Amino acid sequence: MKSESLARTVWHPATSLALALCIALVAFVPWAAMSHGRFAPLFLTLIPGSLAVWAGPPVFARWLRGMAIAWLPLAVSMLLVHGLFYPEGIDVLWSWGWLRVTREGWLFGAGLAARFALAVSGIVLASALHSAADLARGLEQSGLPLRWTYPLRATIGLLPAARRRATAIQDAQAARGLAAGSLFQRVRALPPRIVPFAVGLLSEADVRAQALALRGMDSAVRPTSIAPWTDSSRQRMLRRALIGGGLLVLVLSHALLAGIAVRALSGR
Amino acid sequence: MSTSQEPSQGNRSASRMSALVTAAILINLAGGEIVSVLRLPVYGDSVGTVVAGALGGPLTGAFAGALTNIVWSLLGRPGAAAFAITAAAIGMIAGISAQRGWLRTPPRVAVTGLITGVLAAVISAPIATYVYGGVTGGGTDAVVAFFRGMGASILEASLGQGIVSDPLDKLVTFLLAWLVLRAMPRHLLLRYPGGTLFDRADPEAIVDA
Repeated sequence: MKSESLARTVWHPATSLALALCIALVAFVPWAAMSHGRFAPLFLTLIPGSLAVWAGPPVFARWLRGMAIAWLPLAVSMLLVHGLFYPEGIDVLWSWGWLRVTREGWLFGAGLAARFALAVSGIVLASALHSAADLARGLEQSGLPLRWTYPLRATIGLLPAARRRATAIQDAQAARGLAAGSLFQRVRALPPRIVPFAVGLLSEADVRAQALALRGMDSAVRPTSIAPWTDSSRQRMLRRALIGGGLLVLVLSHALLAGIAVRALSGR
Repeated sequence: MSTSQEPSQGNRSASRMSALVTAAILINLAGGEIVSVLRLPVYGDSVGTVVAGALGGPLTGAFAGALTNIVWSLLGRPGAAAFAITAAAIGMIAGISAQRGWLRTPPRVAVTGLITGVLAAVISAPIATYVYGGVTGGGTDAVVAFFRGMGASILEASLGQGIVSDPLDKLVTFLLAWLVLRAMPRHLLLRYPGGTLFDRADPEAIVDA
């Protein structure tokens, strides 16, 4: 397990996920409608960044790497697409054929990139603090029904083996001459790769269902977990406050903006 | 308990549905990777969702679709969670289609896939517009840029991109799911509530190509 002992034992994975949800909700406050608010999300991203620093250099390094993977390519796309193709733009800075670099387009793209940075920063922090399997188990421990959380946890656990099998099937089919070539050949190569893989997984699912039933999954009593996280009433309250607070801020900010718009229209 | 059930009845126990959803998510994740290795112009990441919908019903399909996107978000693609609604809709449509017999023959499967693709595009467009400003970081951004260059609004460009790419993807996805259901052993099919709809021994059910 990759997370540090402090984060693992003191900070419950479900609390990290509640914080991630709260941050994602706050990211969708209409920042661009506020004066100088367009880039506020970028500054707010410093909050999860600071938490990552507080959790230790390995967590911060994982957070930075996660942000680079999850945010950077999308931010570049947002800047390029809206920077170069923004028909609503008036203030043209440069143009060449279809390409029109407008001030409004760049600002819009940059604002979107800033918002997306904040939106993903929380879940990236959760992933830097805990492994995906721990996050799924944390959800299970937080009281969500087993039929919701088991597939999450099981998928993450079984994924490496499933990938190995998919690769083995692909290698076997390639050895029989079903290798990539023209588009038609590649389309023809698709069913022999996916169908045996899927049928194999569904056969195993049958055995797994019987095992789960024998272990009491269909009974009303929840099995006891031996996961080592500390979950306290304070953390449970914090989780409710984070999710409730995030929702409240989002709804109020949009209602306020709608009220201002209605007043402006009626005053015209 | 599932082991005591008659196979022909199929059952909706938590254990059976959880195992089916787990397999569906794994098929989705690996399916997307296989399609990517073959460099095909489709996503191929909802074959499992369609299979789960067909075997377990609309709610199981919706659950498998939504959970796939949540797993992706936990595995380093946080933006995928926003499209969980679209993925759930695909699973639900697959379940309803199977129950109404629209997944029995390849032509019906193809038409259902195309219609699902259009619906998926319609559902995805407002999400892509609101959450991402129409840009999702994939190769399809070039299509969005093209429509924006033509003067379309962000919503129109997102919808245009979806209409260009989703129907073909869902056509391929539904046909692949049909092949999977056709290749499943009979005893396995009949363990699920929707399995009888694809039982080759039943003259009313699935028809060979």
